[in-house]
This record gives sequence, C-alpha cells and structure tokens, in this order.
Amino acid sequence: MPLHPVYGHEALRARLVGTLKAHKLPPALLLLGPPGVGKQRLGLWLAAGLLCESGPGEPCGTCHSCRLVDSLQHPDVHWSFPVARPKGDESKQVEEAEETLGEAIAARRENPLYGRPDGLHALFLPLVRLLHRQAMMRPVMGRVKVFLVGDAERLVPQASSQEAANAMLKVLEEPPPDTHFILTTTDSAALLPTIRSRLVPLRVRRLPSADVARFLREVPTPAVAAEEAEHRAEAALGSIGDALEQREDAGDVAAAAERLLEAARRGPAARYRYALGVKSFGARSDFTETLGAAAELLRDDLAQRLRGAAGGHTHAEVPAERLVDAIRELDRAKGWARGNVNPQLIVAHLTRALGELGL
Amino acid sequence: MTARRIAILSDAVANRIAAGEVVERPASVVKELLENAVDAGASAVAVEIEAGGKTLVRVADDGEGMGREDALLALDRHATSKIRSADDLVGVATFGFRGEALPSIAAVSRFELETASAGEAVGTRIAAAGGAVTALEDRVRQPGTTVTVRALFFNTPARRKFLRSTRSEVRACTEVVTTLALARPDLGLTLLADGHAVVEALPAGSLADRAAQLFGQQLAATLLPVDHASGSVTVRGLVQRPAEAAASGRMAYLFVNGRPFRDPFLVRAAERGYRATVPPGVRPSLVLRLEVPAGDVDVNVHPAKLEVRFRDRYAVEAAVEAAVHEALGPLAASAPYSAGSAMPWEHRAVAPPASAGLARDLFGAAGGDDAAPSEGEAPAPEGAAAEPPIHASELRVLAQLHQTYLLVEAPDGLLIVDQHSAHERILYERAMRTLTEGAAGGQKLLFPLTITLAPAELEAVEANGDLLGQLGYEAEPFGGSALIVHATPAPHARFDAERCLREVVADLAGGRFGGLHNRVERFASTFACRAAIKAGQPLTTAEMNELVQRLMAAELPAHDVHGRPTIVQLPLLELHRRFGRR
Amino acid sequence: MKFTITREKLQEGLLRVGPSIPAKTTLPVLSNILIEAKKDGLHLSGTDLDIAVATTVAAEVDEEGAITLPAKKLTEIARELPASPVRVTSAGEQRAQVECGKSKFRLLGLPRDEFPSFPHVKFDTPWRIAAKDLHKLISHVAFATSTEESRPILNGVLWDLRKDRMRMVATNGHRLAKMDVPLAEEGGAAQAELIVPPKALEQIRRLFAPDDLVEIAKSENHLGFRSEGTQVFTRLIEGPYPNYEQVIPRENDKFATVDKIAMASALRRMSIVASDQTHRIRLSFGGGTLKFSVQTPDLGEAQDEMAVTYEGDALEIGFNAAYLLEILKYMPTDEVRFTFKAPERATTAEPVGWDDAASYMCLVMPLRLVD
Repeated sequence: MPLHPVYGHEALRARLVGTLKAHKLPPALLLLGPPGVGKQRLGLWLAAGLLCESGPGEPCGTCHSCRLVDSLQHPDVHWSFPVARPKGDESKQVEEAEETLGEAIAARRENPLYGRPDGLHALFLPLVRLLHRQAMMRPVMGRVKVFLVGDAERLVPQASSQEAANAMLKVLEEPPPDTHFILTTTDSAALLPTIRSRLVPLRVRRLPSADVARFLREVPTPAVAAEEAEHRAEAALGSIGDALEQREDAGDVAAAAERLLEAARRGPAARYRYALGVKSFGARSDFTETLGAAAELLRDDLAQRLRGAAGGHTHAEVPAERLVDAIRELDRAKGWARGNVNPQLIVAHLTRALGELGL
Repeated sequence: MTARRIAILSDAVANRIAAGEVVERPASVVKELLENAVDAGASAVAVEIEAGGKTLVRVADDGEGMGREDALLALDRHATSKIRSADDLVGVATFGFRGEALPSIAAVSRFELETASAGEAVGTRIAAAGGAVTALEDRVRQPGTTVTVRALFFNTPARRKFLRSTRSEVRACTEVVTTLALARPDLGLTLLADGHAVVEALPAGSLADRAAQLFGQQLAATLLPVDHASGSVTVRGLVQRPAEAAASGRMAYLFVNGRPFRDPFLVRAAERGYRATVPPGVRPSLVLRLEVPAGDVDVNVHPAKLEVRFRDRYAVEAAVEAAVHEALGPLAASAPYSAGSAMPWEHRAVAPPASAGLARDLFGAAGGDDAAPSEGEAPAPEGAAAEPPIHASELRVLAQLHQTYLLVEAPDGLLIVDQHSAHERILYERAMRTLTEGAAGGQKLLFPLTITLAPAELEAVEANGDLLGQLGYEAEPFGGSALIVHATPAPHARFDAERCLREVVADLAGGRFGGLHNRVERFASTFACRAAIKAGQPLTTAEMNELVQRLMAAELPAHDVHGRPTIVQLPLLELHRRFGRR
Repeated sequence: MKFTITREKLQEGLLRVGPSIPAKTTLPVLSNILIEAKKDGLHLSGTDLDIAVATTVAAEVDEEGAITLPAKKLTEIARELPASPVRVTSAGEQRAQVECGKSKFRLLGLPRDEFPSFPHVKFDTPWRIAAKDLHKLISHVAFATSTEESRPILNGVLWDLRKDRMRMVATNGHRLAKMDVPLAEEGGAAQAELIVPPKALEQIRRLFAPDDLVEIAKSENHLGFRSEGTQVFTRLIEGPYPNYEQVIPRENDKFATVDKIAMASALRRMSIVASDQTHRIRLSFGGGTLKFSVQTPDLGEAQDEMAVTYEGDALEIGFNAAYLLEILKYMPTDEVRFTFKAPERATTAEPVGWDDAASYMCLVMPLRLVD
C-alpha cells in the first residue's frame, strides 16, 4: 500500500520546494516538532522531492523514483527509526538490525500508519553502523541518497557509552558528498549538542484541526466517521498521531495523573507510598506520559482559573501562580525522567514539591 | 523567600516515636548528621572527626540547606521536616525522621550549625552550648549545611566517662560511614579521622564499585551480585563466593528500603542460601539491600533504628535465602559438596585473599557486633589449594559456547571461561606491567586518525597522555577539539584502535572506574575493558587456546577487573555424583 | 511476454546472474530475477543493490515483455527440468507459466516496475584489458584491504584508471599494496579514480575467464565491466581515498635484498614465540646479515639470522610479523628487495627480476620498538 499523502504543512512544504528547486536544501536537517504531526512523513516527502526524476522540487508522485519512495522501496532512501535492542552476536548485530528494520519497514509498507515507538526501542549502535555502511556507498539509482532517522532523541547510550550518538556524529561530521540526512525529533534537547550543532533545525508545527479531521476521514481503514473525526481532531491538538492514538487507555493515563496529584495532596506517607509504587526502572515512557498528563490537567485548571471559573482538580483557593509553579515542577520532573533519574526519587521529590504548593 | 521545610511535630506524633536517647556515642552523632545530610538531598558529604569524635565531629554536606526559620526550628525538639502527622509514620522512607536528633546533639555539646539554601545569598550560622542558642548571625556560604559538634557530653560527665577508646570510636564511626556508603553508592563520602582519610568514596556507579572502593579491589573481586525478587520483596546486593568465604572477618550489611538494620535471623537465612557450598563454620560476607513495600516494614522499633519489624518475616527470609541461592547458582552447582573434594583447577591466587590493611580493619569492625566468631574455631576450608597446581598445558579447549564462553577440559573436571572477562584480565595485567615497567611500541599508521572530542574528554587525554603513550598511542592535539593519532597499540588482531580510544577517553572523562584510587589501575582497567574482545565474537581454535593459556599464566585469572568471575568450575567428582557413579 | 529457450541456455543465464541475488533482503523484489524478452534474446538481471549482473542468452522471442520471478525457485526448476525446450509465457504483470515437456509451472513474481532501475553505464569509450591482467591486479592487491568497519573507505580497493595503465591500491592503514598494469591499447574517456568494494572483484574473478577481453566503463556512481553478453556493475564507495602517494617513501636509503623463502620460514619460526597477538618481532640489518629476535614477556624469546645483501647504515626495526609474511606471500619473485629509512618510517618491498610488464610494490609501517 503506498504511503498516504502529506496532510497540512503547506507553508513549510512551499518553502522546502523552493530550496529544493534552488538546490539549496541543507544536507543535514532536523525536523523538530510535537509527536504525531507527520515529521517522518514529511521527511519521506522531502526524500521523494530530492530524487524525483523531474528534478529536485515538489515530488511528481508518478515517476519510477517517486513511486518507489511512496511504496518504501527506493534503494537510495534509508529510513531508520527505533527498534528493539539487537540480541545476537556482536559480529552479526548489524545484519540483525538490518533485518529487524527491514521487517518493520515491510510492516509499514503494508500499513503505513504506525504508532509511537515502544518504550524500549531505540536507535542502537548497530543501526547507526548500518547507516554508515549505506552511507559509504554511492547511490544506486538517484543523484543522491537520503537518510531519514526518526525519533533521533533515541540515540541512547549503550553499555554506558554514547556509542550510537558518537557514531551518528561521525557520519554527520564527514558526510559523503551526495548524501542528505534528515533527522526528526520531538525533543531536540535530548540530542547530543555536538549532533544538534551539525543540523539545520526546521520546526514542524501542529496541524489545524481541520487537517487532522480530514486525515481521519480519508486515510485509516475503516475511515473515522465525520463527527467522531471532528471530536478526536479537536482533542488531539493538531497531532494526527495523537488523534489516531486516542484509545481506550487515555482515561487510564488521566487516572494515573490524578493519583499522582492526589498522593501529593495527601501528605508524606501517601507520597512515599505512591513513590515506592512507581517502578524504579523501565516503563519510562508511561511514566513521562503520566507526568505530562498531570501537567495538562493542571493547565486545564489554570485556564479555568484565569477565566474566573472555579473547579477542576485543585482547590479553588489555590492561586494561579501556584498552578504555574506546579506545572513548572512537573516539566522539570519530566526532564529528569527523560534523563536517567530514578522515577521513585523523582516522584518523591515532585509530590513533596507539589504538596508544598498546597494543591 | 524560601519555603519552610521544617514543621513542629504535634505531641501525639512525638509520642508515637519510640522514646529513648539517640546520642550515646560519637558514632551516633555521625549517624544522625549523615542521615540529615542525605535527607537534605546531599550528593557529597564530608565527615571529619578528632579523637574518635570525642573532641570534634563535623559533617558538611552540599544538600539543600535551610532557611533561617527552619534552622532555628531544627534545634527545637521534635521539629522535623519529614513528618507532619501520626499517619505519616507508617512507611517512612527517609532516614532521619526523628525530630529529636539535632536538639539532642545540641543539648550535650558545643554545637554549631551553618546552613544556606540554594538561591539565598546569605546563610545562617547558629551556635549553641548545652542546648542554649548563643549566637545567631548571617553567614555567607555555599548551599548546604555544616554541623560542627565539639566537646560532646561536656555537660554530662557520666556519659563522657563511658566513652570507649579513641580507636574503638573511630572504628564505630567508620562503620557508620561505611554502612551509609553501601546504602548509597551514588553518594560521595569521605571520613577524615585526625587528619587521615579513612574512607574516601567518590560517587560510584554500582554497589560493586562501591564495595571495591571501601574494601579494596581484591576483596570486592570475591563478591557476586545478587538480584532477586519474590512477591513484593526485592533483594539486591553482593554475596561472597563460597570458595573465598573465611571462618572469620566476615562483614554483613543489611538494608531495607535503603535503611541499614541488623537482623541475625536474616543473616542466617542468607547463609542457608549457600546450602552445602560452604563448610560449617565458614561465614561468607554479604551486603543485601531489600526493597519491600513501605507498609510491610516498621522501622520505628528502636531509637537507634537498627532494628526493623517485617509484617511478613517468613516471606522476607525466604526471599533472602532464594536470592543468595540464585546468585550462587553457577558456582553452587560446581563447588565441592563436601570439603576436600578437588576443584578441576587451582591457581595460587584463587585461594582466599590474604586480608590486609584497611579492608581487614573494616571487616573486623563489621563483624564486631553480630558476627560473633565464637562458635568454636572452625577450620579453614581445605580446598585443593594444597594440591599441586595444574599446568595450563593440561587444559584442552573443547568449544566456544554462544560465542561468549569457552568450554575447557581440565584433568579433574570442566572449566567454563568467559572470553571477554578472561581477555580483560589478561590485558589488564599486561597493561599494568607495561605501565609500571616500561612502554609498548605502537603500530605506526600510514594515515593518521583524527578524532573529535568533547572538552572533558580532551582534558582526560591530557591528564592521561603519559599512560596513553606508554600503551602505544601516539597522539597530539590538533586544532580546538580534535586529536590526531599517529600510532596505536595493537593488542590483538580484532582490535579497533579508534573505537577503543574513544571509549577509554569517554570512560576516563565520565569517571567510570572512578572507584579505583590509583590512576594507573584506573587507566589499565578502562583500557582492558574497552580493548578486550567482546562477548559474541566468534574465535578460532588457535585464538581460544591462546586465550586460555594466557589466562592461566595471569596472576589473578579467576576474576576480571570488575570482580566478575572469569572461570566457573565443574569438578569431575560432581559430575560423577550427579550421574550416580559415586 | 512469450519466449522459448533451451534448458541449457536458461540454466547458463541463471547461473551467471544467480550469485548476485541476495539470499536475504529487506526489499522483496531483490530476491527476484528480472527477465526481459527482447528481439535480440533473453536478458536476465539480478542485483543486491551493490552489485548488479546482467547477461543475455539466445532465445526465440515471440512476444517482447518483462517480469521478475523468484530467482531461487526458477533456478531450482531449471535444474530439474527435462532436456527439452522451455516455454515461458507471462500472464499479466506478475504471473508467468513455465512449460517444458509435460511439466508445467505457474510462478508468482512481482511487476517489473518494482525492480530498481539498472545502472546507466555507457560503454562508448571503454578501457580494454585482458581478464588475466584483471585477475593479477585483484589477487596481488585486494588482500591488503581493511576488514574493519571503522574506516569504510579502506574496505575498498582504489582503482586508478588512466589511458595507458591501470593501478590498484589497497591498504588497511598499516600496510599497503599497489600494482600497475600497462594497457595494450589506449582507451578510456579519461582518467578516473574509483573506490570499488572487494566483493565486486570476486564477481569479476568468477564471471570472466582469463582469456576474455573485458571492457570497463564508468558512470557517476557505478563501474561497469562487460565481456561477451555479460555485464557486471558495481556501486562505488564514497571517496576521497586517502592520499596514498604521499606516504610512499621516496628517500629510503637502506636496501636489503632477501631470499623470500628463507625469510618467510625464519619469520614463521619467530612467530611461534611472538604468538602474542601483536606478532611483534625485531629485525636487525647490518654487515650482510639479517638478525631476527623476539621477546614476549610471558612466553620467552627467540633469535634467528640469515644472510642478505644489505646496503646502508645498520638498522633495527620492529614489525608485525604477520604483515611481513603476508607481503612475502604475494611477492611474485623469489627475491624481494626491501627499502628503509628509519625505525619509525615506512618500509617498501618490491619483487626483484619480475618478468612481467606489471609493476608491484608493498609498503608496511613498522611497530615502534621500545626498550
């Protein structure tokens, strides 16, 4: 099944078509934006635009090259994204990574709508090695070859060394001449500064709700009914991914966030009990999600408060400034969670801080 | 303005906390102050004592400090930042919840508290004598708290009279610091006794590293990691390899949810985990860290807080036993079932390490209270140490398992060798020799390598340039952040010189082997770890043979530089027994 | 598409193309062979994206057309067919029927359109060389490539094509091999410096018999080889290749001529004790003798010596014995001439009295000696 078309981002695409036509697309780009707005899809679109047989520009969508890109079969478009940690012999990990990635891409070829990467998936060293291997060869068909690296913030340390990120840096430091790198991330702060400094950042914004709704009506099978699409698009805040992912457990996330806030309110024992109940390792993405949800709940309250309405999750007498402080605390905690801080410690600290704010 | 962190406990709460004197000797002062420091979120704590703490105890931390109001409250009995109501007492997860610590100490000493919280330009200094505040003033200082306790018990002559010898008090303080150091490997801790550094522990990456800092590499190398969970109980830590356990000088450290405690029954449960792998009377050392749900343990039993009460003691004991047994798994299967059964292979250095120096002292201290070495003088294990050592040529490499382990036939059984650990050990010893006795020539490169490094890494290169050079790296700075390499060592055919250099430099910059005091040791360990062949590397028969030969020629073949075993042994006798031939 | 072909011709074509088809691939179409029936015969092509092989075999084509079919299955079928003409008919974009005698197969393939475009290499002004000269270049040089992934460029062989000669260079950064072969007839558009992956060289050795005359041409990203009806294309490695000419010593002023066999056996003896994985040995030249010595801390030591013709000041120099042995192995003559400058400078080795139009040299960097 060919990829769905790109939805939205018209202004950005128009700009990019201009640079493509002028042969001025920077060889190393960072597409930076919230999750689910179509950064990697945009990256593939750019790849098609670079390789289109009618010359760099808006991809025609009909030439051999464009069709191969759209069916994820173009030999000069190398798409990598987080996968499971390779398990096999070190000497064969690159082959293993190639295979894992190949299977994942084959699955996307079947169904181009994919979810967020699993919490344990990452861009491990063998994937970057594979990229090196491919980068060292001249293109197969096209004028250039394109490397699209999704979720680049997942270039994580392995065995306590930044091998994967360093290897990525190495190829960015000495890029082969006919090569384009497009990295995408939701969190540029999580990239090594040395990597970040070699990339030209491009901000990919949230989509208008109308685009998200249109996507929901047109792309998934079965299609989402118009009314439901409107509703979900509204809640997804311009992220197609979020709209697609709105799922049964959305309530669970909110409930988890409520429990966190409740624990903070109840006092030290409840807080520590709650903290000890948090897994001290693994499942970080769930954990950050909970923190994010809590922040969003408080943002709701804050909005209410500023509108002069009471209610929400916090006591009416908590002033708006405190809410702002609390949201800031949650954001800080999220930062730590993304680093390597023990979630239990984060929660212990966070709940105390929130408790002191008197929520 | 800083938020007030300290609240006065209501009488009801204060009464719920078991009554009793907290301060009985300098070590208890050290303990209380350390715990306060930890609770304040300190990342490094320096302890200084004089005359065993009788004349001076000073604890300085870089924690969050206190505002003035809090500092004054801290001297108020039953003021604590950690508890507000009696409900909160169940499941306390910080150390020093007892509000009385500071006031109790201040009441019997000349006391001084300096503190500043982050973001405050000016901190506070409070001085007190016998509990009465004598000075309160501004003091500019780094965020954190320093408590100085002089002339302990100056106003309680009886107490003062009962203090033990300076040596004994030093040992008790050392024990307190050591215990905390084990509870929190991530914490930087130093103990200075009369100007001598007794404990010097930089933040360590793991409990094993911390154990190496505290007890020495040699002893730490005899410890095996424990990691086990049954039900809601998690047990992690280190236990001694059965073959290296001795009849005396054991150490036993237990922690529950990060809090140290004593419990002879749990120690015995751990010993049961050894089953028959140790002869009677031999007492293996152990550090066990238990995690149980906060509601399942009551830590408020005794004022010294060394006793705890488990809601389900049986489950905890069973978990500890299972954890130890699991940790010993591979060895328990291979160790002799009765004393005297020959191991397939013995090496002079595999005998229990000769305890020496500081490590010995620490063990003595650790065993002092509960190890009771009085169960009769148990004979030292009669391993095969007395038998003539087997020559390496009597070993035959059979196969490589999962491209990670080598299977080696020995005259009296089977050896399983971890290829990475083994190579690491060989390279470590060779690197140490090269670094201490001379230098190795590097392979000159046709085309020099250019490597870009982070500033901290460049610093590490500068700081270790001499050692890098001795090992065969010929490198010079090149422009701002690059290094140009003209020659590299070539320790083996599968060596990736550039990757190894990058990793070594990153490790050095990141302090990965920071636990090793000696710079040369630290460097050699790093190099050995990064240069050694990895698990998963297929090897030719010739390479396997050479690896085993060289391992057997090593000084300490049985352990790698992290203290993991390089060899697991399966005696023939054991095989016979298992197959019912004997 | 409709054609008839003898079983032998079909098998021949499949065998030529087969090895270029990857056993495992992430692009399903690459496990297929591209079959194009044209007026001039049957064109078979396969690729793993790095190497592409195309061959033409005689066939009776009734209807032109193209399809891709699973290479492995097709090869197995061709092997088991009776010795009768084979008739292949396509049905739609991705189905084909194979008939031979009473056997009949229906195979499911993939549309031709999914097959990546084949390299566009124009053979209008090619270089021409005898395949045996190609084989010579490859066998004396390719051994020196690096097998490590840390410097991908060194995994390739530098192929320097001029109007009148071909040069091949390979190195792993410690030692280097270089050979020049003059071209019998001038050719080639101009000069080109290309980096070729060694696995392409294997295919060339396999596909071209020593007596074939091979045409070589290049495009932007590929190098093509052609002889008779068979073409091989290889993707090139990104350059630039390190400046090897700069490291070839010109000022070496010490010369040793040695007997290859005697030196190799001495080196092998020394290697027993140097079995240390660095293979470090020490060579001392002076006064008509070459002394070998080895010292390995936990193993022991050994000495040996042999007579050599040596000009220049006495010299002590360290080497990885494995590199020296390897170079000696590829030297085409019994006598080898080494040149030196100093213990930390590059050493060269060349054949003495080689009866060949080609010229050959190897270079090796010493191991620093420390006392």
